[in-house]
Amino acid sequence: MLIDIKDLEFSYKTKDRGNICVFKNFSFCLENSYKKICLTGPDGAGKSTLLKLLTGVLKPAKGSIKLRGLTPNTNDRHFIESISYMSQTLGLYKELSVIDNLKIFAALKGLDIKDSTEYLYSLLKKVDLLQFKDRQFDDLSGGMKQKIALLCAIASKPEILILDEPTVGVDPLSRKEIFSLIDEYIGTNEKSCCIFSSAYLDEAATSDFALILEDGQVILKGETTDLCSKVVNQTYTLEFSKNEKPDIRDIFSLTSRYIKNSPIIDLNPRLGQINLTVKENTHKEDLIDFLHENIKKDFILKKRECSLEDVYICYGMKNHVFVEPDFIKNMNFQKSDDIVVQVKDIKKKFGNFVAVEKSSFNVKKGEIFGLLGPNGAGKTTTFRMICGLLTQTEGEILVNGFDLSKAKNDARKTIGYVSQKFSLYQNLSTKENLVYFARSYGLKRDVQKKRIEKIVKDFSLEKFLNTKSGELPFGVQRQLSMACALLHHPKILFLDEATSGADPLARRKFFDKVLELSSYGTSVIVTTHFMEEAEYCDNFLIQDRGKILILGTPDETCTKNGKRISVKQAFVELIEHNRDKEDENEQA
Amino acid sequence: MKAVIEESILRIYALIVKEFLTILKDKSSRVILFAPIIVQCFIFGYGASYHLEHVPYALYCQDNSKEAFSLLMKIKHTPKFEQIAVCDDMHCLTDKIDSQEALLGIYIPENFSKTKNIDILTDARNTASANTAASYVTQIIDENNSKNSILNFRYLFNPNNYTRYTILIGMCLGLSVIQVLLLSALSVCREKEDGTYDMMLMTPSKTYELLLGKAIAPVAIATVQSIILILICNFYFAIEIKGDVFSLLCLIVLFDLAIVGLGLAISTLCKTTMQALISGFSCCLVLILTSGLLTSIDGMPDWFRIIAKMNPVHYGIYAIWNIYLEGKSIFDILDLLIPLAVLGVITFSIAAYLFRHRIDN
Repeated sequence: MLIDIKDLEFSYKTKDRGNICVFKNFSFCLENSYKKICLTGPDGAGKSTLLKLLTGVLKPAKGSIKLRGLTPNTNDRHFIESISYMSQTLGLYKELSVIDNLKIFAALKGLDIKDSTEYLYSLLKKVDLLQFKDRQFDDLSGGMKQKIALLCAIASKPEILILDEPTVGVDPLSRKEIFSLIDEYIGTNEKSCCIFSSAYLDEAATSDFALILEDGQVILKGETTDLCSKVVNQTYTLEFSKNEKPDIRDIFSLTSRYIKNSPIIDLNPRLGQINLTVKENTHKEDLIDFLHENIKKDFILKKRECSLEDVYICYGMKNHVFVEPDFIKNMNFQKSDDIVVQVKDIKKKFGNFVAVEKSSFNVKKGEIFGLLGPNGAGKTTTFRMICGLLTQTEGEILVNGFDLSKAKNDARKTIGYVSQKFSLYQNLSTKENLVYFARSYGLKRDVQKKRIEKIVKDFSLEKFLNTKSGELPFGVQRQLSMACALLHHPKILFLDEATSGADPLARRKFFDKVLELSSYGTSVIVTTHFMEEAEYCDNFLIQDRGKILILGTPDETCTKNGKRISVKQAFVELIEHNRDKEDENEQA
Repeated sequence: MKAVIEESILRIYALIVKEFLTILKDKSSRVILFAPIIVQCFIFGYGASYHLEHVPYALYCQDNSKEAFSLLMKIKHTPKFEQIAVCDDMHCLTDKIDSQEALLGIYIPENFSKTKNIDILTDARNTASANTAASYVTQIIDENNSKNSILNFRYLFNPNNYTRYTILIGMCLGLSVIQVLLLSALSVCREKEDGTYDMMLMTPSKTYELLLGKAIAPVAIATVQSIILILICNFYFAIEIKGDVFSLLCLIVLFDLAIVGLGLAISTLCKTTMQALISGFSCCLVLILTSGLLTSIDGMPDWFRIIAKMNPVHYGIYAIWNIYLEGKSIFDILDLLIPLAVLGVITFSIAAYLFRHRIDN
């Protein structure tokens, strides 16, 4: 047996909310033959806890855990040398250089450092980071850090690799590299296997066994190839002719999240078309009738091969409690030509380093605008300049007509901002945070009370009003960040990787909210590493090494030889092509 | 116009409430704010005194005259003095001091009755106690010598010349310096580390609103602390407040405002809470050491005295002595309060400048 868990019980102690039970009567067995096992599920499902229990970092309150016959115990040398664990926080020494970090972790696992320098260099060379070996770990970009942490885990040649969200917050390019590194390792070492958690379902789909957790329970498990067959006959593509294509804002509310008896569980834009996932046992005719009734345009409904993501959504929505939404369907969204953000030839230099090279773009009222790019491309810098958190070296930024360099405060009144990391006052309760932001935006008492009541209902925060925001589950923290940013009804909403680490269902609900806002005329500027989220954008740009490489609608930018390709593919090809070209120029 | 002012006040109010909540919400942080201060007050009350209650001495006397005998009896019957050894040679006398058994060595040579010559040896490894002990003996000898004209010392404003008085009263402000400085130095840095700094900057608050919002909570907490300390001094250590309470309160608030600007300036300069903590602490040490609270400013070299004059704590401490011990009112000590206010304006301006220009980093 690879994993053998019997009657596991585990709970966390918290100050505010008492003991939180994560696992109760949890049993799970897995054969030795699997090489790549993926754990997925919503926030607070117990993924990280389960991984920590498997490594022996946490001890179960009751029950037994066996990993290849051994009980996890951090004091057992034999056990420790057979596994490697990469935590979400990476756990490397920020102040040390890359090579020193590698040496320390290799030595801790009993590798002889004197003989293995060459070996460690070869590892670095494999991920193309040898030239950074003497760089301080903290100075690396997000994707590089993640790769180094993975190397540290691999260096001691463990039998079992346990990786907790190895690709969270990482761009598609680095994700690809990280997974090819994992695949190569478990491919060449016969006895080895990898257990990882991930919020990216496309990564989960590459594993040979997947486990979906929710609230400490296994809601679905099985060989990945088998899992997809569970929702067969439930997935469709809705195709429109080019001129007939409805705006996503007109149709996103046709799902059962908005209409109780809708046959559609999920609806999202993919590859220029609309992907549908429908309820079990829905007849195609009924579906067509429903669609004709609600979409007054001609369409073709085609069957579609289902993916793990569809399975996840279907199973995740099973426990969904329908709440009557107060959002009223807006069936004819009109695009506006009013420009709300105007960026003209901005440039940002940090010392000699040019973080952003002459960039210009406009964002219109009600538009969803995406900023995409690999880690360290200058997205965040651009983003922070438009928010007025950084001052540009050159160029001009107009936000709602206000020049940012002159009327920062007036501009800020019209902006809402959700940052990448949870950045509210952790010591303050949900309500105190809301009140603070409401007051900061000058909302008077009666308005303040109404707005807070409304937003608490919208984001279903009622249960958590008096909980310290630092002790909230991640998903709720994300909701709260968004709620705080929307209290003053901003005209522009900035979302900086706001969905990082969220599961597909949480991301769907998040984008429902974004589409709602957009259909009421709020412009939304997003950065994201989930490329499929870019399909929601009216326009997006892809940036690398400070330069804008492409700017346009998804259909304009993601076409290859007349055929529509995925944003992810377009992204990866564009970046790789651009880097090759630049490197060539440099050599020349 | 009215709406603009109302909004501005609301924003400052939001910041103040938030600051109080972050500082005071946890029970443990409430304890940390008040318990150590009170403990320190008692430690200073009992521990920080240059007075000697017990002076061990060794004696080597070669003179058998009546005068010598009467002097020796006087010393012996002074309650603070304790004779621990009678020596027969110089060697023995120095020995007793070397081994720290005696703090003083008294040598009376053979012809004392005629020459009135007397040698006092003191252990100057600890200068403060050596000086004090020597001055005690001098006083006794002086009294003995001048039978007709006795010098009577009267210590004004501190009748028993207790060093405890001056140190304790100074510490009512001194301890709150530590608090204000650390609270304000940490407040911005903590937000930088938590990522809430950006969120705060993203609100439409203006720089002065942010500064005010950040300053008021530490000032209020430090003021409450100073009041607690003054109450302890007054009721427990029975040091009478000579001045009026209003003047004292004005001084404390003005003083804390002057210090909080410095703390906020440190906080904007530092990147991590660790840096802020260490910088804040070193700053405290310098401020208190050059303030004239523990050592006399008069003893410093001229050029160094100029530095001391730029220290807000110096003015604060002299002012509280003036009000508490001498009973002066704020109008009597404008020469101390005006420089204090000027220094406050300077530190605040620096903090405001840094706040505005440090955003890029």
